[in-house]
Amino acid sequence: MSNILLVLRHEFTTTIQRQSFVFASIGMPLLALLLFGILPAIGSRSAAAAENSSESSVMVEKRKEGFVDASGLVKKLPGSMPPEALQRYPDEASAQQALQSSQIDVYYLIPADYLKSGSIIAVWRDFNPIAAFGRTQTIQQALQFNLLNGDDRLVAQINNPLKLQTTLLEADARYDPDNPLTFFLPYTATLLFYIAILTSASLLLSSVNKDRENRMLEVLVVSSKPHELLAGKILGLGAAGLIQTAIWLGAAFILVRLRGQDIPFLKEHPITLELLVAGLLFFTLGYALYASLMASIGALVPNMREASQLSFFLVVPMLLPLLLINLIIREPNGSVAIILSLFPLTSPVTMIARLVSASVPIWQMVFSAALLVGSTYLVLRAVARVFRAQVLLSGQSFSLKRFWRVLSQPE
Amino acid sequence: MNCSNSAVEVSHIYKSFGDTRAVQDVSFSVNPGEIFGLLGPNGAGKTTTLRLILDIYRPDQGQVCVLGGAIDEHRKNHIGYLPEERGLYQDLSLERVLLYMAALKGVPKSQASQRLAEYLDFFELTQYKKKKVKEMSKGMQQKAQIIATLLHKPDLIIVDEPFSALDPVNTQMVKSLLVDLSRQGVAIIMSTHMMQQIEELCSRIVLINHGQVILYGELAEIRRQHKGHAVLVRTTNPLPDLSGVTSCTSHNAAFHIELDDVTTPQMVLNQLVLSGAEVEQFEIALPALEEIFLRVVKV
Repeated sequence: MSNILLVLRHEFTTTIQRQSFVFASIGMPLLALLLFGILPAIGSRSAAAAENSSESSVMVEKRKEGFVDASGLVKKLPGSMPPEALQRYPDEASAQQALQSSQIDVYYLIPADYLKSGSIIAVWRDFNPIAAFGRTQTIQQALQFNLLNGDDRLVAQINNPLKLQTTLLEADARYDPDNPLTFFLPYTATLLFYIAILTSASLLLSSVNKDRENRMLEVLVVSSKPHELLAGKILGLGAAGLIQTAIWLGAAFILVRLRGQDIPFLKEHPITLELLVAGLLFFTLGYALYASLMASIGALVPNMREASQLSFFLVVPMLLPLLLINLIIREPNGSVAIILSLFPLTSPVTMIARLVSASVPIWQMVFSAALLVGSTYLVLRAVARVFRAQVLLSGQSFSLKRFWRVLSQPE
Repeated sequence: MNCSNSAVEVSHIYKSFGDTRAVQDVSFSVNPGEIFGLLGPNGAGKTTTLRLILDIYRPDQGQVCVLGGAIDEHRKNHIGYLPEERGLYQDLSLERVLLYMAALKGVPKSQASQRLAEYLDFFELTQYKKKKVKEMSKGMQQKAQIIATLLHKPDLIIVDEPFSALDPVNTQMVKSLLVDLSRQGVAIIMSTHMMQQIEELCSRIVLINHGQVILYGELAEIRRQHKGHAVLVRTTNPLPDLSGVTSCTSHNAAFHIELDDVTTPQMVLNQLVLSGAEVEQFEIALPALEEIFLRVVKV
């Protein structure tokens, strides 16, 4: 069996058997499913049940309200209001008697100058500040109805004067900008993608360092060519990362299926097959590029501490789309979003943000993927120069001078 | 590249790192079936020389032949290497690490498993095969690394300090194993600071200092070349007074007699015979390798 395959299998199996990997791959989605899928579903069912019961209790309580109209405004009650919801009393004495005999909990005195003053007196059997707020709705509704001469349509219009319909100049924008999920979904997808690529690429850095810390490098470079080691590691850890990403995407899909019925937005805009395919493609390409870069750091530094410091500079370009996420989501086909989705170091993450926010022209996706493939090839060639036995075993600290010297050496 | 039938042939190799010359004009050869000693003080260039043989480093000048040709991946698979800075994957089981190492050397899994079972049994590690490497003692890890070096049945073995961390029993076990392998035709290059082990196991050596060859050849010949002006005498009766002697020390019931510049060993023997001493042993005193090492390295 080729050494690349052996290294691939070794890296893949040791990685997927690691507890931290298992937790991140399975535990995290399970937790997310529990937190965002199952518990809210149970919660919403309970809430629905509670709502039904509270509705009925409100109905019961509505029957316990009364009013005395000295102004003569309230001629009739709205048709939608159950007749027993609000009792009319001819005078305060009869209303008071009804209150004392617990037939009602509250009665309202509408004074003769109500139209002038707008004041109403509420008389409670006992005061409950929390319960009090909800109880004025019935009398308010009755007053509003009569102020508008009993026009139901007008009442509805005053209650909800604005039925906003947004028209976008960009015809391909996918989501309603007034919907808060328009921001939430692309942001979550972008963040998850950023984490997926970074986590998988970092596996490579930690793998090279593990070989060094376990003092295995010298034996390994005698047993296989460094470029075989590099290729095996990139492929093996990439496969592990791909599986992790696929599990995450699968969990997101299940989550959407579970909760999508409750959220009309997700119902209208499901996770499409194209989005899944594009996601896996850009994950793979982004991983290949960043993993190669991480491998060069792993080869050039003597320990994990230095590797972590140096890898921070690599992460910065990937952070850029996250920092500009508002702009990318608001203008997914704007010039900033397009440039960032074509520039190889930022394109994997930006493209996902754009794909979730809007329709992206096919030529841009193809061009972006081609640029990623090309730059990954160039980076891999450079990394092959770095990933050599002499460099791996040198144990020297990183310096730019040394980096250029290694790069300029013949293969 | 002209390569002889030697297991290793190093010809006039040079290697520099920046301004530092690590190896200069080093040449030696190792024959199949011999245990060859590579000696030198710390920083002398031994590890660099070994890495040049193993193609980890490329020489700036000169050539290295391994197993009859220039080193390539096929030949590398016939080399067993135990580096000075050794290690194993600490979080994996012993069996898994060793089978992975054997697989990288091109050994089919069934064959590797069978050989591994034999070696684990030989080194009394069978019960630890499912244990993680980090759960094993340093000595056990050292034995595991020796197994990793031998598992693919190499034709050339390069071992750097093979006896470190081993107790006397295990040291003896490894020594007999190396001798057995050399008898089977395996060439062994052993780098160590334990001179006694070199004297016991090696027939030829090379001593490197400051990247250059200081001594090279048959160990017995080297000791002869570095013999002092002294004789080793064992008699049954007390040693008579001898002229021309600068010092006389007793060692293991024998006397180590240092002679002055004008006195020859023959003259001492004549004196002993004339004095009627019953001589059991009389030989030219040869220096220990350690003595030679200290002498040449200090120069």
